Amino acid sequence: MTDFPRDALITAGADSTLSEGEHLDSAELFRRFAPFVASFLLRMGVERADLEDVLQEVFLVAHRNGGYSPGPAKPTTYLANIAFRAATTHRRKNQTRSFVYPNQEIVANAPDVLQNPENKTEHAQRLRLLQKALDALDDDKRTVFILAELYGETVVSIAAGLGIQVDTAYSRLRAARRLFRAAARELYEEEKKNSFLADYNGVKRD
Amino acid sequence: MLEDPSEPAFVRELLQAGVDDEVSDYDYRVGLAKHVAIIAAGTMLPLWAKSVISASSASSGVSAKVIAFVIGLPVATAAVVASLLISTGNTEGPPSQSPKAVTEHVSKSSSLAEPKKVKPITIAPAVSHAKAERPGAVAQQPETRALRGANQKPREGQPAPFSPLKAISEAKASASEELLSSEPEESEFISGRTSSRQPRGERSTLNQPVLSRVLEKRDFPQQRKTVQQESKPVTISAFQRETRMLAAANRLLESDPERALELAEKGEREFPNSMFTEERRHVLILALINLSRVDEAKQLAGPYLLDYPQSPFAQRVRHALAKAQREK
Repeated sequence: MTDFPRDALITAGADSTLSEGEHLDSAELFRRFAPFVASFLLRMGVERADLEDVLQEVFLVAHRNGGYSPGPAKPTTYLANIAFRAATTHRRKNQTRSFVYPNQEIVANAPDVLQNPENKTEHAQRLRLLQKALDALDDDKRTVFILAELYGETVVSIAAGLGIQVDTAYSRLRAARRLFRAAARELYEEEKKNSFLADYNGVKRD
Repeated sequence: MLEDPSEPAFVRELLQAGVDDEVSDYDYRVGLAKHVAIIAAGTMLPLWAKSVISASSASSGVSAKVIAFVIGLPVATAAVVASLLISTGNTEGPPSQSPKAVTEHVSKSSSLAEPKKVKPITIAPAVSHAKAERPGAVAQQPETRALRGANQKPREGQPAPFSPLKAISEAKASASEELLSSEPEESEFISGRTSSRQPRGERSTLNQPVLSRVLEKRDFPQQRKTVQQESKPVTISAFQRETRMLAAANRLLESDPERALELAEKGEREFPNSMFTEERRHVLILALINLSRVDEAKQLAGPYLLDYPQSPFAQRVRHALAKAQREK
């Protein structure tokens, strides 16, 4: 568990302490938005084992870009634009190479004294399903959807951050919602069936 | 979707899990320290990021070009018109001419003007100083002053009418100010002289190195010195001057190693231990090799390769020395 001062971190959608017209260099961006970028990268499909490398790449690029300058894009959407490219490139690279990754489910369900094991398992299960549902979206829709639905970013800010038209962002969000809903329903049905079968098998064994 | 009660419960549950999730097993403090170290080490950008950086810089570059074009076009046009007026010697027109009359006058005079008379617009700042020293070159200046004087004194008792000539002279003044703040071209370092003597078209047809050597034998070195002394505080910073000298020396390595050597030596004298020392010394060594002064080059290359063993320039020096020794 990190001992990073949590108070100093601003998670997405809570950057109200950002004073108007404030320029943020990459170190300051890291200090404030690294948790957001890390979480966003995971939702974009970056493996946990690669998270650190990709995270560092994102902030290195932010540094070379001169940090964040105030504009229509918020720091979160500005970083999300870079993180989106980093994540898609990373995933594409992994499609052509074979790496041995740890089983995320086992790692996530490993005993943790700080959390209730039952809650943790349930949370991990939902996250796994969420990830599967997000996998049903293409990268563009996925980015807009994650920023809007999970981090509460406005579509205007997302469009500015990604450098796309506001109408395009709305269109992607609408399509992403439809696809996500359908994927979630399918996964839910499947899970229900599996759990029923598991229960049924358990009853039969008993 | 998350707060929309019409959404199915399983959808909201999944979204809520995503919102609640935090990467809690990552030490952000260590991550920040690593980030700072990565920057300090000058780590190269990943390949995918080059498009991000170039896209942003290209867009800013394009917008800067557009702004420069929009601002520069009217100024340049006014300056062209003013120089045409001056070059035809017809500067005593009434100050309160109508715009239409001026336009006709300009179109008439532009057809009469020789093309090379338009040259003053492209004169570098240092050149304008140099020209002022030559008696033939200052002939236009009293006319300009007379023109300004006429424009600055409207007839008494009348409201100041629209004065196109005044506007033009003001535009010309601002244009020359702009030119004063501009920088000399690398070609000045390459040729070792300013571009005031010959029109550009004529110059391009000549053999550049030969020309520069011929010109240097005349009174040009002295004039160049004067020009550089005058222009240094006005025109360019030491940094720009150093980079331009170095670029010129690098470019002349093959075609005119003598001049390249001269520029590199001059750079070493003027900017000792600057951030370009590594590159400049390598140019100096290569110039010596190209001049077949291999022994001298070897003497200099020894300490250079010790100082910068991993430098990409060191590799070039090694190759050039090896090649020169083989040929020897």
